[in-house]
Amino acid sequence: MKTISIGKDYSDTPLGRYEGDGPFNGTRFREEFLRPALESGEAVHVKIDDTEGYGSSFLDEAFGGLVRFGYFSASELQSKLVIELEDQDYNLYKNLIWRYIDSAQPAPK
Amino acid sequence: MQACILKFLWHITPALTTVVLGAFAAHWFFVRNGNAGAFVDALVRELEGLRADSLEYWNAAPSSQNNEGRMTMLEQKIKGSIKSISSDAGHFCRKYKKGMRAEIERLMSNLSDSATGGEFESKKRKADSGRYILIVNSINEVRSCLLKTKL
Repeated sequence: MKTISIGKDYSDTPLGRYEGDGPFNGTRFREEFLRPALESGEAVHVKIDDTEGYGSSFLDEAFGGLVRFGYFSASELQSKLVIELEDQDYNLYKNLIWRYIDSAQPAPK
Repeated sequence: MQACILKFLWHITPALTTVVLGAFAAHWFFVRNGNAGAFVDALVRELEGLRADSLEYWNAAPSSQNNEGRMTMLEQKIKGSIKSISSDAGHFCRKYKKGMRAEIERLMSNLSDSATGGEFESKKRKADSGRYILIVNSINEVRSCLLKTKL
């Protein structure tokens, strides 16, 4: 099992969608942290509650992008990915992450 | 004389107990409803603030030298408001309306998606007045759901 704490391993102020939007954008988090961890085949636990909060654009790009770019299907992510939180105030973001994963459509190649 | 008093108390005690318990129940009911109503009013005020900030942010042209600081501040305010409203609404549901929690969570997800989705915090963002309508509708849905609890 691999554990990624967004606040501790990445940034406590993640923001933006694309590479040009700042150093802690959603694309970079997906490509450098989330995707490699998931490709190792182990279950990946992502702790989301040690940041200052998220914009939906970051969450959509980081998590929905895994499906949109064809790296994983939503059902694969449901079995491999665990979103963890202790602070119930972050439940909003957990709901959003699964919403973006479930609604993302792989882009045609 | 003492026997007379005891007999009087014997008869009056059940009625007195009922009146006192009834008064406590009524007081608890009205105070609780008053507190819940004040909580809803505070949430509605926060939603109004979010509406004003979203209007300015999504109708402004993308960040330029002139407004970059203002846009960054609005991004922080919008994200902060959504987190705060979601947290407060969750607390409201846990304390006053447990059955409403799933609905409020769904509406808050819609609101976050409309207000901070798309090109939010992105250099590629363009002024998008259409998105503002989405945000207003999402805000109104949350507001209506909360105000229904006051009826």
